[in-house]
Amino acid sequence: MLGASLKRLWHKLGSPRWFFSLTTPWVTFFGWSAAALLLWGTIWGLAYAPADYQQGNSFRIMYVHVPAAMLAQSLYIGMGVAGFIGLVWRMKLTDVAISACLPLGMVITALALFSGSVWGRPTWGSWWEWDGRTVSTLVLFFLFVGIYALREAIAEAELRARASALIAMVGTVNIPIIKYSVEWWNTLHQPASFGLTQKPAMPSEMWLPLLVMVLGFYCFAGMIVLLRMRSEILQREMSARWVSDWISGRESS
Amino acid sequence: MYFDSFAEFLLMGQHGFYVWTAYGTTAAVLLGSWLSARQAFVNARQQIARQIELADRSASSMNRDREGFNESET
Repeated sequence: MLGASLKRLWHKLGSPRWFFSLTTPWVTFFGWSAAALLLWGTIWGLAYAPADYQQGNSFRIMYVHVPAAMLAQSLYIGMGVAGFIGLVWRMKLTDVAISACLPLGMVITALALFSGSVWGRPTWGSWWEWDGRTVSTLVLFFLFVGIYALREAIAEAELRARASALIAMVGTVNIPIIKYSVEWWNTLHQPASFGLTQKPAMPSEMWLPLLVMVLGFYCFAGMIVLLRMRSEILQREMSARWVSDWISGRESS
Repeated sequence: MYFDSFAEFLLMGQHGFYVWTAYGTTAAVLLGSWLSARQAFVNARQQIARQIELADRSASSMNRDREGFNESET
């Protein structure tokens, strides 16, 4: 009984049409949440949080660097999970999800690297260090770029979906490397700011704005990924009846 | 407020250049991502609307032909 209804839900989840109508209000919700959280967190982090006693005000870069780096990894994990589901259950929607995560994943990873570099200059005395964390994040960037380029190069849809799903899945081995790089290798990079099990090493007036920024970045990503998935669904289902009904309904209203 | 004046806020100690570069780039990246994702959605919608319009036009011209045929018959 439960198994049957779960199975029905699973099939529904794979239906682009169902996904499209379900997520209509979500884009707006995530968009406004992101705008509010990012504005709040930026003002709090830039103007109200106390300066670090060693790093001075350069530590405020943390409020954009850490959320960007966390989001970059989460987007990749999302793609890896989507790739796995897509390969096992042959869902159309997972390939849509992979294609929607790629553009944001690329620029957010680039942002994490860049903001880290700009932070490294005043604190480490160098724009770039070939240490475990930066190199594994650079690998993450090349994974995003590589899958994007691969998708551009393969014209056949089925092959494109399977190839990118496979690489997305295999590439997730890089994620634990990024995570543990600060423990495995001697590094200048500081250890994690947040953990699920430990209290942050910073005082709360420093880490609360970071929490707000992290939530803001995730809401922002929710909005972007959904928006891109919805565009991709419209394009793929262009000749479906429900799409033309939705478009005509919009125009007449 | 942590800073005593707006000028100090802009200077960020010695680190104004680094802090504002990082925040400026972040703002540009987020804004750019949003605009391009929204544009992709608008493009997809317009493309399909055009397609429907074309299909409607060819369907109605076919109907007109059929009506003309009917008229000549009666």
